[in-house]
Amino acid sequence: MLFNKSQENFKSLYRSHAASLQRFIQGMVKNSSVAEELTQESFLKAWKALPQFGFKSTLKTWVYSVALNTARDWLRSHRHSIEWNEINETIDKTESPETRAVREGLSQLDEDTRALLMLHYYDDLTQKEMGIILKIPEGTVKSRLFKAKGALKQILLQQGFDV
Amino acid sequence: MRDFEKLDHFMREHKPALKAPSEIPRIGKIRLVPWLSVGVAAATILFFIVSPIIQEPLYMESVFIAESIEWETEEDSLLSYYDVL
Repeated sequence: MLFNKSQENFKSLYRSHAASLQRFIQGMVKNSSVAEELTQESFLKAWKALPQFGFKSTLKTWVYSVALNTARDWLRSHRHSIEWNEINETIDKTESPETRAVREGLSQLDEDTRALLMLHYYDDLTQKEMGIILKIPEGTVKSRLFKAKGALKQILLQQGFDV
Repeated sequence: MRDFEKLDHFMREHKPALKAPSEIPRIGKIRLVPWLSVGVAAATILFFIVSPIIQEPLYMESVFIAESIEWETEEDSLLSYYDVL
């Protein structure tokens, strides 16, 4: 049914995953407008490449893989033209100091570590699913996650949060 | 992983805000904004090319009209005044 490329199927795929995917991309590129555009781009790419989807994973992990690659491509092409502080316009003036610390803490980590933590905390993915998206074995996901949490904990402790 | 129980709770409790996703994209959509910029640029160039071509005959016409008018100078007016007297 999913291979029936109808507008309705595309809409249902978008409705079920757009919000979580946009959060993930926003965490990666740290810019809400860019994240919005890349979310749409990821869906269109995934949709066009659907015939290559070989049921080796779920549709959710497939769309996330496409989104991760799209975000990485964008970061690669804009690496020299952006300053993180300049584009960090997602700051909400009403956000709590804790939320700000989480956002800033994540932004201090490298993009792979950040992607891993975003998938783990905000997208409710299993370690197996994360492995498929990041193209690494499940055991590696576990060890990297341990390391990533340690790094993030250090950042938050330095900022005075009891984590 | 027991070391990170507090961190896990903290992270899930303080999720950064998210902007709502935009409308469903249309498959095979044409991006309007770049095309709009191209359109405005083309119209501006066209205006500068076409504008002198249109304006020249109008200018020439006004010159001809100006030349065809027999202007009544102050001197002419005075002469005609004395003629009447």
